[in-house]
This record gives sequence, structure tokens and C-alpha cells, in this order.
Amino acid sequence: MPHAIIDITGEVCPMTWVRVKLRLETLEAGDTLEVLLQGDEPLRNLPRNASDEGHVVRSFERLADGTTRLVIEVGQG
Amino acid sequence: MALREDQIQRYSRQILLREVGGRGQARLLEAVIVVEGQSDALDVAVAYLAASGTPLREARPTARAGFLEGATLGDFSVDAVARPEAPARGWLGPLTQGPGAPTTCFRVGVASGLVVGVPAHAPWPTEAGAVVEAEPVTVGALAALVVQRFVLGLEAGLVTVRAADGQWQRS
Repeated sequence: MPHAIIDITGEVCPMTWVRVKLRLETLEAGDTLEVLLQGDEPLRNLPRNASDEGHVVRSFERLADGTTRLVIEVGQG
Repeated sequence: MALREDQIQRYSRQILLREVGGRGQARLLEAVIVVEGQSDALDVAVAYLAASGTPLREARPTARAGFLEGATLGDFSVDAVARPEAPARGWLGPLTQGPGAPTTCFRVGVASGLVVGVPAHAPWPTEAGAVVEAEPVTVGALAALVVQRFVLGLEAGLVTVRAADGQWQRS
């Protein structure tokens, strides 16, 4: 079970990463955040942005409704 | 300090920056910067700082009053702030008193042509300082950046200086 969930299917870049980044800042290192997103652009950008800031993308899964579920583990900061 | 939705929207492009984020933007909003002096470069620095959300206070009321968006002119002493020995026509530095004021004490000189001089006795590494020869817009933007980095708890390590051969180099 993730420590937190955020739904950014209604957001567009760059607010997608802004929302995720702010949520990640509220978690502790090692915690996981489940991100529900829509579209290819955030799917391309979010894993790269998360990795650039020291987080780890643990998994991603395309869901039947067209959204994607991404799980990010919070890095050491 | 939790950012309000309107602050998230307004400062989203700063929050995106790795060195800022939500916590850094909160620090920029909570800091209070003292503005003292007159110069084109200082006006540019003030504009950048105001745009980043940092409240500004004039050490002495000047014609710039209407330029400080959202700021309330205060009447306070800047004596508690370390006074640099290097000459300059303007200074930026945080208040060291009052709610939300950062405890770090610094001042950044801003003047066209000779700028961003950090005094040797300042409570941060002397190598953080630099002298920059450039037009007021560049100097003002750089000074604002230095102040913001101090507010964020970072050294001014990305300050660049113009070398004798005209090439910009990292200090």
C-alpha cells in the first residue's frame, strides 16, 4: 500500500510535476506515493523529473480506463 | 508554512526548480528583504525579488515605494545588519527581527558596474562573494539571485565573474 495517493489526471504540464513534487515533500524518505495520471506527456516527464530529484520510480501500470498508475519512492533528499 | 492554492499557481515555475520546491518557495515568501539605496541595478534586483514573492522593506522611504508590489513600508533600523566596507550604491539584506525573519544576516551590494560585493567579515564564506562588471539588468538579476540563494540556505556558489578574456566563468 502506498503511503499517499495523488490524482493529477485533471492537470496539465508543468502543473502535473508541481502537484507531485509538493506531495512528495510532505512524505519521508522511503515512503511511496501513488500517482494517477493521464496522457503521454506526464508519463514521459514525471519519471524523469522524479529521478532527477533523487526519487525512485518503483512501478507504472496502464489501467483499463486509459490512465496510468505510477509509484514513486521518496529519495533521501 | 503550507502554500495556498493561489501561491502554488503563481509561483509554480519556481516550485519546479530543484533548489526551490515548495519548502523553498515558502522560505522566499516568509523572508523579509531590506532595500537601501538607489541605482538602476538595485531597481532590477527589487523587481526580481518582488516577483518571486519575497516581501520587501525600504530602509528609508524613497520614490521606489510604489514599486514594491504588495510590500508595506516599515520603519525599522538596519543597524542590526552587518555593514559592508565595500562601496556600493544599493544594498539588499534580510531583516534580522520580526516574525518570520531569517536568522541569517547578510547584505548584498548592488550598483551598476561594481556589484555583488560580499564583505570579508560577513558570516558566510568569503568565496561566496564576487565582483561583476556588467550592465544594470545583469547585475540586478544576479544580486537578486544571490539574495534568494541565501534565503534558501544555499551558498552563492553559482555566481559568475567576467574573466580578463571576456569569458564568463564560475567563481
